[in-house]
Amino acid sequence: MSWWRRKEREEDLQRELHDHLEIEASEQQEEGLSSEEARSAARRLFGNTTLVAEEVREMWGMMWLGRLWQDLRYGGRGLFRSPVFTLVSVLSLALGIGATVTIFSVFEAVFFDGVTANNVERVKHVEIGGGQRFSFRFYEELSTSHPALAVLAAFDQTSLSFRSKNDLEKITGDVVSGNFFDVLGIAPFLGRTFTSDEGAERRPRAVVLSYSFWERKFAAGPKRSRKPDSYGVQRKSTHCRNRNAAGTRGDPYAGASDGSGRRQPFGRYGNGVGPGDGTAYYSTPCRITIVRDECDRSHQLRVSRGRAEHYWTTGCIYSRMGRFTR
Amino acid sequence: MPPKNPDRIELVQGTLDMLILRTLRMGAAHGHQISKHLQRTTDDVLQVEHGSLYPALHRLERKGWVVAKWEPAAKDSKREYKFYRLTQGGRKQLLAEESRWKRMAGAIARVMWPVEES
Repeated sequence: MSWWRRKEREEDLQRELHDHLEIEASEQQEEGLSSEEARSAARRLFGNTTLVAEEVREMWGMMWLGRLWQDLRYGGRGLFRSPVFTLVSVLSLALGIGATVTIFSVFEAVFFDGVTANNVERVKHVEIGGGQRFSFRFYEELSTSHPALAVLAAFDQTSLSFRSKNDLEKITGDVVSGNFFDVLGIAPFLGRTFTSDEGAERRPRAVVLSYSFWERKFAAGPKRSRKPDSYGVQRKSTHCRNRNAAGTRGDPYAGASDGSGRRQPFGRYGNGVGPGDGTAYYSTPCRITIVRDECDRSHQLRVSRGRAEHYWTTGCIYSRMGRFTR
Repeated sequence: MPPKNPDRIELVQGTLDMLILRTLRMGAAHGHQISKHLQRTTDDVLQVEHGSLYPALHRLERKGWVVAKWEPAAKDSKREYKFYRLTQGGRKQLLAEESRWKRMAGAIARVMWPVEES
């Protein structure tokens, strides 16, 4: 109800109660009382008008507003009476709230920011023998032989060369298994990520670029398509509040190639990337980073490593857990 | 000033609304008239506190059972009072409350004054 409507209602009530007293007083006067006596008799008969008015207001459901206003005025007067105390209180509160907000912001940025993988609670980090290296073949065997691990994906950090026009620069990237993005549930912004058979032997090589890499090196250019694979951009994550945080680590993601376990193809993949130059896909790096951070290391599944024939990638595997229980 | 009637009985809770609605069935009335009517009709037995009457009137107005309007007390009078008038919803409510009250009074009467079986 608007303020003027409330005021009007309040005036109405006062007038109504006043009328009642007047009628009563005139009746008392008719019975022979003097004007003054009649008025006081009417007031006595009526009772406490303030109380009656308050009961009516209570019924209107507005008493809380009046009480709130009274409390605020009382509090305000108290604060103005002792300005030093007020100042100290306000400053303490401001500092306390500021510190809490800062701590929470840092905590959020470190632990929660940009967790965007699908069913992230089901993605677990699996370390082989305490982070030792293992072969690609071992990874393949593990993914088919261990029923607890519903889906496995592997990655390793690596150095790549990136050539654009006449420039050649060294960049950091990750070599990942073909199903890496599927396991993490990360959808592309444009084009596609790796197909499941892209890690197989003698398949065309593909690269997925991070969103920031795409922006930086390709100026967020138009999507284009060329063989051997389509050129695409992955969706820019709206959850990605700190893209730069991921810039320190690898940007392009190279699909795992053959099962021989050799790392050599990746330099060539990097060289092939360029606008209109084929095999580029984009991904938001912080998503990957965050998913990596999300891994609950307290639930690492330790698998005793068999004899690795080819040390191809370091021991980081993501898995969408099936029947695995904590 | 009339002396206080020692035999006055406080209203049974929940009956004031019904009594106000019944009073207004005879025509529009302002608060003082309603109060006096209840007092006189019950030979000063029922004590209607003003502290209850006015909140009750505003409650009935809020529920839509009565409407209030400032009107002159008489045709040639300039003085206006707040008159309450029964609405159609108020009439229905009165019927429902009357029926409930009759059932309750009958039930109490049957307990208090049971009919002797011959």
